[in-house]
Amino acid sequence: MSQLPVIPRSLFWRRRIKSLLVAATICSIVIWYFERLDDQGYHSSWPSGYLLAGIVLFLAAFNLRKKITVLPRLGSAASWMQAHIYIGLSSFVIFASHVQWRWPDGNFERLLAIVFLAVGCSGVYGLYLTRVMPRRLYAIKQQVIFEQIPLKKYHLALSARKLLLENPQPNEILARFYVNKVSRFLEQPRHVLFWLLPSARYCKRLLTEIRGLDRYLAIAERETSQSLMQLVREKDDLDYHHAVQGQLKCWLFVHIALTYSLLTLGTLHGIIVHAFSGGLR
Amino acid sequence: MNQATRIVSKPKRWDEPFDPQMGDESVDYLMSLEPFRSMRLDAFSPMVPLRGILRNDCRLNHYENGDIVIRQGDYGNSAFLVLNGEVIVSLKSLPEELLGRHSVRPKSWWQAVAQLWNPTRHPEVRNAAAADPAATLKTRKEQQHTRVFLQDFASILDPNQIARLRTGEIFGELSAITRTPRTATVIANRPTQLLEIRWQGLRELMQRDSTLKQHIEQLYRENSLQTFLAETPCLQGLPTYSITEIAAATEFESYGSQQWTASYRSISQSDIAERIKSEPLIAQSGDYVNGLLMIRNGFVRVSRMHGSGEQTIEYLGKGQSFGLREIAHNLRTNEQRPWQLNLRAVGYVDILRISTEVVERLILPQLPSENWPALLPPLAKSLDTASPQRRLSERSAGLPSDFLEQLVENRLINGTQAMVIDLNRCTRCDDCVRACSNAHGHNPRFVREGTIIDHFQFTHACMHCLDPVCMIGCPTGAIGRQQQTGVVTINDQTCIGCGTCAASCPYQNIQMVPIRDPQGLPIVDHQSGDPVRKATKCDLCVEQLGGPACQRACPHDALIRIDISHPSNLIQWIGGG
Repeated sequence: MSQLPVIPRSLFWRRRIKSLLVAATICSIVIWYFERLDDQGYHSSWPSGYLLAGIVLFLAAFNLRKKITVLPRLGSAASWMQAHIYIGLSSFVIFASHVQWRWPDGNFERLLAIVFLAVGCSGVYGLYLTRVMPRRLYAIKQQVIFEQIPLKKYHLALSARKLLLENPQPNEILARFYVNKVSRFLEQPRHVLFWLLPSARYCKRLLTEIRGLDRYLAIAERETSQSLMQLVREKDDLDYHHAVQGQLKCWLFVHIALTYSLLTLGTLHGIIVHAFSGGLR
Repeated sequence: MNQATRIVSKPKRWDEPFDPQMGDESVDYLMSLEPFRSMRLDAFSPMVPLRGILRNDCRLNHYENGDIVIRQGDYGNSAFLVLNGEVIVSLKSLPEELLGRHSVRPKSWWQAVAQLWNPTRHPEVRNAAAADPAATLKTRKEQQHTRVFLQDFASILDPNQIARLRTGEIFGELSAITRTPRTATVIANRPTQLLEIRWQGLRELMQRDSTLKQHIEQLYRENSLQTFLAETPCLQGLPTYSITEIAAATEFESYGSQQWTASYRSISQSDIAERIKSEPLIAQSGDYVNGLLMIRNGFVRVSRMHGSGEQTIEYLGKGQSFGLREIAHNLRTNEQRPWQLNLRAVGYVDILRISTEVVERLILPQLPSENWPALLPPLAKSLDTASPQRRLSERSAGLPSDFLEQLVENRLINGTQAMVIDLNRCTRCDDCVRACSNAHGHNPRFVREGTIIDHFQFTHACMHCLDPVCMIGCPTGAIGRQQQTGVVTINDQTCIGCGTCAASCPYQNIQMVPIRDPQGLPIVDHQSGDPVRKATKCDLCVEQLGGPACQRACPHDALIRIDISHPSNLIQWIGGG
């Protein structure tokens, strides 16, 4: 049985510094080499273009690697991920060298550059999400599987309905507040802004309003109010999980879709430059 | 204070007899046979009389010619006494396939590639013919039990590599008492009646009948004790004659229940202090140090009194010892310091006790000075909570106290290949589940849920336990441990879907699933029409070339398969050490 190398949690920073130093050194050497080629009268855009194409193909192959985990000797996904991150970051420098450190002139080249930068930036944004969001998700009391969230929300809404509308001794104030405000929160999807920037602000406001109703409730009825507040908190937690886990899945979808566009445009770019350059020099 | 109570009858020792069918007639019959006929009835306590043991801890089993009684490598918790007939012990290992197991070979490169194009999209697809245990095993029903038999077994066995056991002889007692795998396969040689005695009854009989006790202890001393002692870290390097003398002076003790899974489930919701108190106490802080305690099997919790409760400071497993430091300290300083910590049995524990006198005479004088344990901290410092010298154990120092407490609480220390996910790095992408699914014909073998301690999730995937309770009671031997890798696997072809393993697993890591044919049609039993079910669980991708797919698929270094029975592994991974 193969044993994968195990890195202690506390030593990730050491790996990060080492990888950054290696990437920076290699980039410096490559850029120095391209500069030297230009100085000697050659076009460094040829080797830098091929290098960039190779890098893009390698980076795109990570998705393929993830789909064939059962094949041995391809390295672990974690190793690929590390290579993906640092080669991806290095590709910005290679790209800048390829376009001669200026914004391209032609429309097609501009489009290609935009798509390249979009892929790169979505990758950096994804890196930020994958490093920051897990901690935020863990900070939530309950841990849920993404696919189970809609069902859990449904059960929560049902519990609230039973608590307030099917109560043998219903309280009119609470029931009216539930119908007017809480039911919408429990049964309907959140505002589109919440999906982009999830926050507990609305939940807190709702909780304050429910708490404010206590003065109109008998002591025994406050238990129902407490239960309702608990359901609201749970729903907010589920919404937060839904939004954050959704973001973690969506960015990858966008990143991969952009990658396919980049591969298509990159191939076209290769064909065009070869067709109009008069061959390799 | 007037508190409401619910009145129930207190659980008793024999609430669940081994065989409810055992009646007075059977007990009278057994009482007329040796060795029970010669046993002194007054040696047994009125609470646990001999007749009670025979009625509640024994069952009569009938075997036909060729029936397999026990298989080499199986775990069992009962011994067998031949009442009439004859059984054959195969001294040579029999082919795994004959015993209902399968030898797992990793896939070839071509097979590994080919599985990527597996077209089936139905869950749990099997070939209907291959899924029938009768295709590979000869089975027959004996009352409610399923017996596996070997046809023409005389031609399979080497006549020079067998032993015959006849009326009055006992077998399987060592593995029943020590919870170790059976060392040989036993087959009925003719219609045979055996008395199966579960370990509780056997332990009782050993306590009351000195002949049986001496017989079993002698067997253990001869067969494995000396090897065990020689391999124990604190005794390594001692000359053979000393080991022999120590083995002769070693006492055997056992604590807790072998059926700990049932009590674990029932008490897991109770108060933590109550749960710790329910664990049998092996040594209590403040008591006289009466020997070196070595763990032969199972796990113990080492704890100290902290406020009104007990704080766990480490756990010990097989081969580790407790008490050497106190004995060495007392010998060197002429003080009489008692046990410094409590020792409690977690589940079922076998202990070897070597008396203080033997340790002082035979072990310590021969121990190189660098191997002597450190002196205990001065009494004043051991009471000073701010003193770093107060700490009595360094072994689990890298784990936070609460973390350690919960590891033991949830019995996770049993896992040799537990799946641990760091929730601070896990992006919930489910690449691990997808990889597992791809490696098992689109059927994931774990659920990404489980006990969360700190920010680590101990996921519901088979942990390939050190004490594999799931392996006890499988009627066809379909579940077994691979000898080379230690991985517990289920032979799909010989699994009859009885659910014994799934019910035994305390961690709910074995699932019973209904199976389908390649067209997606449910496969049903031709007699009852019930769906055919198979036990499924994580097999650590034993057939895949690269090892556990889940761990290789995690892009964020969040998931690991790890041996928790040694805390050092966990400490290293967490980075606390």
